[in-house]
Amino acid sequence: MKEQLDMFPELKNNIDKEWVNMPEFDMKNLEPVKQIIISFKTYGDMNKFAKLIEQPLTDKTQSVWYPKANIDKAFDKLYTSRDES
Amino acid sequence: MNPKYPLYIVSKKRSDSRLTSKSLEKMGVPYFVVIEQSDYEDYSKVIDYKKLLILPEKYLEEYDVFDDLGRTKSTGPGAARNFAWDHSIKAGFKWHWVMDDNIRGFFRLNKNLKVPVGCGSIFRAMEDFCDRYINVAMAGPNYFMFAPRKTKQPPFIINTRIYSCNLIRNDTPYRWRGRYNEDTDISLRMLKDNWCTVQFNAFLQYKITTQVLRGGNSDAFYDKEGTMPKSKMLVDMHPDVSEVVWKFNRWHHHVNYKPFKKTKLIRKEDVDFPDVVNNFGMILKHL
Repeated sequence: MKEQLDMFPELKNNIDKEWVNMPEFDMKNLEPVKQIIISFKTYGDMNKFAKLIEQPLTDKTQSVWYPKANIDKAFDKLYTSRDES
Repeated sequence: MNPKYPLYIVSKKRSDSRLTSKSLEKMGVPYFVVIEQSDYEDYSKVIDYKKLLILPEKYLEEYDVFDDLGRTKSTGPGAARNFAWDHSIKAGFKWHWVMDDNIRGFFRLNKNLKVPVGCGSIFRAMEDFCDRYINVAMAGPNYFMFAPRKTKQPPFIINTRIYSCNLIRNDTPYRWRGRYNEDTDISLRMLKDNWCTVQFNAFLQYKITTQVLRGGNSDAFYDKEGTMPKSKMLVDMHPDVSEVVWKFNRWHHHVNYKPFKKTKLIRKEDVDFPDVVNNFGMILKHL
């Protein structure tokens, strides 16, 4: 059976064609094209940079997007069954 | 919506944590817990006794540990998993689920978010998906940490190992074996016989990292001997596709699954599904 399928590549699985009548699965590539580390010598320099990109930077800030991204969060959501909601 | 096939959690000395049990309770999903007789008192204090199944001694005695050390060391979870398999067959089911006892939660990956799931619909969706094909032997959700949310990826991949939360077709001619890496071993035996396995990225399990949660096999294996015997056993079982490698400061096994990528899913002849989304009754609730 395997050999026969190899003879007919059009019959090989297409994952999207198999994912029918299944839950929504809509994924995009959200990876940044480039990430860099920026170092500040003083807090004044950090504040100047924050004004420049129009985003707050604090001691807790680990990363930012430029331009600013609206990042959706999962912690306030739950998939649940219609009959339980 | 609940699963149509029975769920079994294999647990040992984790009556205190019982993470998978708690996760399924929150989701309202029925399940059994397979335990050893010596653990019954502890588990019966915290889990409804009707959900507890005592592992018959014969499954431990007859278990193929795949080494010469017999019962001098723990058999690992395989013996209890074999009992779950037989238990589900006796109950008349075509498939069964078997799960580790350290799964903190289940999630759906969609729209680049990993959202917790509070019902059993994801199990039903995975079951219905597998039921469409004549050659799927085993399936399960990917690990939470292995499915990056920012990366575009398919809803499932085929022909790889299925770990920790396994939906198994009951009439396949396999049983668990080995003291370690049982999941990889059984996946490879199925794949070598041209069965397919399905690992879902659309559905995820959040499993506590091996050796972090006490109980289970941590005490019996890894604390004393490290990870080399574990990795070496897999190479002894499948020298054609596996090797032992040193990385992240411990021994690991590396398996080459490429030889199995050419095996394709084959639909049942009478299966024809409309090309519309079916969320199995799930809705996204904002808390």
